[in-house]
Amino acid sequence: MPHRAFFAFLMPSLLAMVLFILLPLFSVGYQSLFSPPRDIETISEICSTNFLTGVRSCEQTISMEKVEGTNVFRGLDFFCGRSVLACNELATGWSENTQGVGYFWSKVVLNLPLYKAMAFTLFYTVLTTPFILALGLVVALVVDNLWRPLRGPTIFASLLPFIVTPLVGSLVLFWMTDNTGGLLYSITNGLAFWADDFSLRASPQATWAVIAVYGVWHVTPFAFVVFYAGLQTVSQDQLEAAMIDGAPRIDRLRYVIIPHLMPLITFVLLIHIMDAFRVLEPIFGFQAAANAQSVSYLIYEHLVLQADKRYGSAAATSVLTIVMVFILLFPVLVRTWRDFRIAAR
Amino acid sequence: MKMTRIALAATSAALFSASYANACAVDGAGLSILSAAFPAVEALQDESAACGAATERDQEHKDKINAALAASPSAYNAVLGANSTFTSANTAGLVASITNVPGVAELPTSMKVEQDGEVVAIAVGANAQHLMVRADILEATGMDMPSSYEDVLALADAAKAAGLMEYPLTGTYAAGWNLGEEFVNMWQATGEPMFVNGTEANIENEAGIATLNMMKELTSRMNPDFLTFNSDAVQAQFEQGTAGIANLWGTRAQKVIDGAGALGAEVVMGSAPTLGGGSTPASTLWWDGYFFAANQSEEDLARAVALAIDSADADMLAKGDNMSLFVWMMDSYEATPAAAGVFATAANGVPAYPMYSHMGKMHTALGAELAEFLSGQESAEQALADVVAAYNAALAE
Amino acid sequence: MTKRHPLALLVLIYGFAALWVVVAAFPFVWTTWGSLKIETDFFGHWVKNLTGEDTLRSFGSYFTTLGYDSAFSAKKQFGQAVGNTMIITVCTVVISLTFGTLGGYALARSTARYAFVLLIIALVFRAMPHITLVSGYMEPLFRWGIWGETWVAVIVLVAINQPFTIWMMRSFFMNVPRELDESAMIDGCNRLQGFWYVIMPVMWPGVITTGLFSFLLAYNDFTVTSALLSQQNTTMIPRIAGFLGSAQNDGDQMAAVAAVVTATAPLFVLIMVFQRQLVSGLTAGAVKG
Repeated sequence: MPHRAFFAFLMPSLLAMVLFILLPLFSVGYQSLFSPPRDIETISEICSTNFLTGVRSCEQTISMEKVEGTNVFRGLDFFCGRSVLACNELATGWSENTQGVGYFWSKVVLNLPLYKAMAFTLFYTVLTTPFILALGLVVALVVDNLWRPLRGPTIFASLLPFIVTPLVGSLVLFWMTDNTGGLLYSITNGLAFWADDFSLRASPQATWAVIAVYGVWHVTPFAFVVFYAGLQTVSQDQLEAAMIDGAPRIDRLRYVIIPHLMPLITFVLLIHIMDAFRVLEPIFGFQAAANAQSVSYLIYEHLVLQADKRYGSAAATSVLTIVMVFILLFPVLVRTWRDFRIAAR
Repeated sequence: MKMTRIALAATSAALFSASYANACAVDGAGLSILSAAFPAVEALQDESAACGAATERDQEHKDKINAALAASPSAYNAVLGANSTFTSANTAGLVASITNVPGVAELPTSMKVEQDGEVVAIAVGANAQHLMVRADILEATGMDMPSSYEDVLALADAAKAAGLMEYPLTGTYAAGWNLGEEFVNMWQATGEPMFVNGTEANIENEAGIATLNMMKELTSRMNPDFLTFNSDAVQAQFEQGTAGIANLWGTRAQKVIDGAGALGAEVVMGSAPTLGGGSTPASTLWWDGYFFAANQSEEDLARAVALAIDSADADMLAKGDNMSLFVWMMDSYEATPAAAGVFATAANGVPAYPMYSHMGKMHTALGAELAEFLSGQESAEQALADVVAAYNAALAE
Repeated sequence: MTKRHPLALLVLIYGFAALWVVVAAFPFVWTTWGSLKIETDFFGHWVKNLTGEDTLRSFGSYFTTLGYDSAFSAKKQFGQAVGNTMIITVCTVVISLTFGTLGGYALARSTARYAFVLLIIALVFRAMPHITLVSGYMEPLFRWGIWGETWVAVIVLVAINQPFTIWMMRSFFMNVPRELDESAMIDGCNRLQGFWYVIMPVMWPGVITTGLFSFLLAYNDFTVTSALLSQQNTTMIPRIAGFLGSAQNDGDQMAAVAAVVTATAPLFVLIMVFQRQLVSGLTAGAVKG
């Protein structure tokens, strides 16, 4: 395709992305390294009057006055700040640590916001992935073997958890975990009869587990549909050959079906890992902020939840997230590049 | 030409006054006011809207106040906020002084919030968290309305022992803003200053430990899900009859009375309790009110102030149940039974919520770092050290 | 295809399918059922949600539309949010598809190195948390006096979802043989004519599928709409989030439940009508929202 035609076709799309994604991204990168000059402190007095007693109370407060001037280069200040990589906290924690690596890990590293969020993201990904892949595959196999008229309704029901807005999906489950007798609570409480004061919302373990269950529930349909479509293209010749050889069902699955689905499994895996960094709405839906914070939630906290917005920390966290996502995507990028070169030939 | 314009103005004024049933003293057309979305402020916003002003009622309004006021001209003429949001906008230099605007001088003293001698905001209502206890709990246990948190613990234990409820006690301990507010409330009762030498945090001490320990004692008697309890949830527990003792916002008092009333129970309103033999109630006094954008013309500012004063007037109080929605600061306000708790708390000398520019950072740090202590994963010392570290990090940025 | 299974396996297959359908769909059934109860039933013990005893006591009937009445009342105006959602999603889908189809076609047909680089950049964009971008928009939009406008949110939604749209459209175009372009050019069409008269007629299934996903992205969006729309122009999801923190009056909690059910209903219809396209979209192999 000639260069001019290419850019003519791509122009609207490119323009939209440059204006609303690339430029904000540059500004994020800039904000992670530069910030306005520090405000200077000025003293002022704010007074209000108690409506009942009429007592006037004044407070000497320190206000910050904006200083005009060009932005200052902060180097790695924001990246090393406690809210992000916490370089100093880690260094002092390590040098003062006398109780071994385990203590350092659990009491120093996991006490810092970004590492806590990373631990949650990692836990979420590692715990949900096998379930999503396995369940997705089983459901796909089951649906593929159902009586044909039943398949449509089953697929319909299966798609629901995936297609519904994450906030809505998490709320629907959250409402069922109320410990005064929510249905999910009652079922799990019955299963965990030995635990006192059992609750699905109180401890980090329970909260993490509930969010992981939500994650499996929400993403399994996606895996199922991808695998189901993959099953339709399994070579019938190979399957029949295996059947004639008298291979048991489990071997047919292991040596024919799974290898055939392998690229799709990788695909689902990558998408899921990428999305784990973006988990945000379930934290609101499950009111989980006390026990579980995702990387996206941290950025949200810096930018939205407080009046004094912390652009520097938010920008540094965002930059790190993008770098991590890029690293995770690297194998896919290499593969896409190969496909691309082949197609170009 | 001049004549026609005057004539036109007169006609349009006549048209406006005809179309507004309320007989607005102020034409609000072209003005806009940003606010939260709870019933008391919505009552005010309804008044302004009836006078032709655009009203934006957003539960999450605090996220955008500063961005909106920083525009030139400001996206909103006035904000109906609280002392916390005022402080943050004021620190950023976005709030207009209204000392010389007509009508302001005549306001009651308690409605005027001043900075360095200039009036900068109009307070319309007072709010504080205070004690609400179901009367049947007091009767069944034979105990008096608690005046200290130690009494509250005893009452909660007695109520549980009497088999009234599994978790009689509740409170707004949801991680984040609510949890931070609970700490600030409890801290006030210790009488210690939260900051020394200007902005330096002063909570890693005995008073801090005492504050946290009482919070732990209280939460250990609550439904284990307390870290998810916001005001909605606490009110709902009164309505469900699953809890009957709480230190909750005055603006919720009427709803708690109604909710428990539907179950046939009465609720007693009292002052916020004290802590450790002190005399200061463990609460903070808040004001909600108007502040005005610095980035607007003098003419708009004068109209916005006039509209605010006109909205918060006797007419508004007389409508529906508006009188019971708030502890209003207007002279025409007559206290309702629901207001008893805020009055008692104010009479006991509850301190105002600190209007320091760095208070917001401390509040956020408290809300984020205390949850691990309350859920038993961290010591009190460690939790306080984390709060200070998070606060310092925010301060340095 | 021969599928003869022993009875035990059949029982297992149908049993598992039934279980899965319950797990996937039951929470929605439960919430829809509960949305017709009052607060103390729905948020109380599950047996009460089932029997609706408090609802019966208060209203003399097992069901009440209290939650829906409250959500759609003049005060809460959820109906307005439903309308806004429709306008915003339809506009977003139409513009996204127009841009995405053109862009996807160009990317599918170009063999230049920069086309690949652009694709990779788009993939990285696709993976970024949206909150990072959105927070930067607020201040300039207020400065220009266009914050809160519907069309601004539409443009942002279009832009932010372009990486996904062009990837998906590209993979559909890759399945259309290049020879088709060339034959059109030989017949005397220019590139645009060839694209419109020859390629597009075979592309409609792909466009519909991509359109469905654009619809879902816009419909389900929380980050962009909650930060950039005024209350008057806001959509369903941020409105639901707003209901949650401000439930003081009777029925407020149930308004949130009713709103959740209302927001889910159009998606039910969507799946029923477009199930085949959704499945083919998920398997187009490129990306998902």
